[in-house]
Amino acid sequence: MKPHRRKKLGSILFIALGLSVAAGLTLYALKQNINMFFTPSQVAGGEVPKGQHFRIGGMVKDGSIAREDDSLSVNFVTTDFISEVPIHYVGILPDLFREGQGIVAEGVVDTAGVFQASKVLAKHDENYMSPEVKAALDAAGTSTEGSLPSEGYKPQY
Amino acid sequence: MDLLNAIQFESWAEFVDMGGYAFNVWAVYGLFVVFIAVNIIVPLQRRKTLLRDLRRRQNIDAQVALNRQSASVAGAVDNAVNDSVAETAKVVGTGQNAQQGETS
Amino acid sequence: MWVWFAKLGSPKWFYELSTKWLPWLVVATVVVIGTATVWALLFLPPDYQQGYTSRILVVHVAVAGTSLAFFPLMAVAGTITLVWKMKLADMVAKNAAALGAWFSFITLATGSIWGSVSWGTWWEWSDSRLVSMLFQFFLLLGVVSLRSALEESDKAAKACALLSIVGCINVVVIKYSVEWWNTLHQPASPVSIESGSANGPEFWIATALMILGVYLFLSLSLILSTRNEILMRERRSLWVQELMSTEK
Repeated sequence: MKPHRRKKLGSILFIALGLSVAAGLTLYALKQNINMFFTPSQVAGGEVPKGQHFRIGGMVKDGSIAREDDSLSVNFVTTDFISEVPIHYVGILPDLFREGQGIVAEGVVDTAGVFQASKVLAKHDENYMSPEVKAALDAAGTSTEGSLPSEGYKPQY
Repeated sequence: MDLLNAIQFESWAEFVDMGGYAFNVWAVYGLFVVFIAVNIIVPLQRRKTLLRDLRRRQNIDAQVALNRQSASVAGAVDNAVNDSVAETAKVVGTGQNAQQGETS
Repeated sequence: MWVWFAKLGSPKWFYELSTKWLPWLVVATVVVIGTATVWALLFLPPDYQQGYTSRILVVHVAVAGTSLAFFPLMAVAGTITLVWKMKLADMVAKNAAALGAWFSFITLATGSIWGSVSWGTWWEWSDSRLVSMLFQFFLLLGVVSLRSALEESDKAAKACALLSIVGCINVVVIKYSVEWWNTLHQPASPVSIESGSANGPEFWIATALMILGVYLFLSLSLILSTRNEILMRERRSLWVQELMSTEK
């Protein structure tokens, strides 16, 4: 390679490297701001200031969904398998909302410690399978659902 | 047949309905088809107009070259030096203009 | 080796080679995308959670994954332009930007249509995967408009090459956004053809086929527009002039 070309290539690599480092540091500094939600453990640990509007993400605890017959009001518990936060919501839930699935809710914690959600979104996990495969996995006891936090919910660190 | 049995639907209506998600599924596949069609048809269309324009340009250039030739021949025969120089300059001028027009 | 490299960069060589290979590429693209689409729409079993909306993901995953190839491609082409001043590299880069913007847009649109039923929202500004993909769309539009704003083509080529190299950082952010931060968007699926693993084999075979098909389509579209670019920029060269009088 000719010397002037090598020099040019070198300076391009240098610029690219410098910018990558700068971008990496910026993103690292913004880490908490870029996270979409707090986990129930973070809420329990007092990382969220009282009375603040925020998002919480976790799994819907098995058997915790209680709907009211005459309204769209629903109560359930979200968990990250370490801490739990009860959630109250009035409105239409997304199709994928169900027990053992991940959700993200937006709202505030009231004085009773209940998260009053103004919006509930369902997370989908990264596993796609047919009902037959799912049934076979359940029968074999190898399904990860509800047993590991990897499905639909990612632990913080 | 195995292949036919593997089809997930019993009827045409069921296929169109997509388990109740007809709008979403068909919107996405429709979008996908448009996306592919546009990005194949537009370059093909552009090629057509480009070839037409380039050919036209080629013909004009050939015409200009021909004029230039006949002008200089006429100049030599008439032996009218002044006239022919003026004429040639004019023709060369238009030739250059054509070339400049091409680049823009 | 350098002779080969220089030959590769020759527009004439590329044009003639692509003329030979185009029919095969067209056939391959049609067959693969056709098969993947029919498979996805007719044979793919519904997901145990989402029902038939998982069929949307076959298209979405294929287009989204492929859209990440544009900045690296343009960065390599840009580096070649800056260092070796190879004409062909810039022609490819120029046409890749617009096509990449299309890919990013389709990724966002199909994702939105899926999210509207599965998540319960069309768009979330707080999700880093969604926002970084939107950013890629705008960056690519930026490269396209930078090219048309700078009329002097040599300067435009250099500016776009630099922007393309810088844009690669965003590709890394898109790719790892779902791992670095918590998001509504699901992380990448583990690829597995073994049945009995967490992912059923059906979904992944269809998606892998679609990814291959979308890459073929990308090459086809990019080659078609690059050939136009070659004819345009090389119109004064002898070989194009000759081509005009022979080819229809």
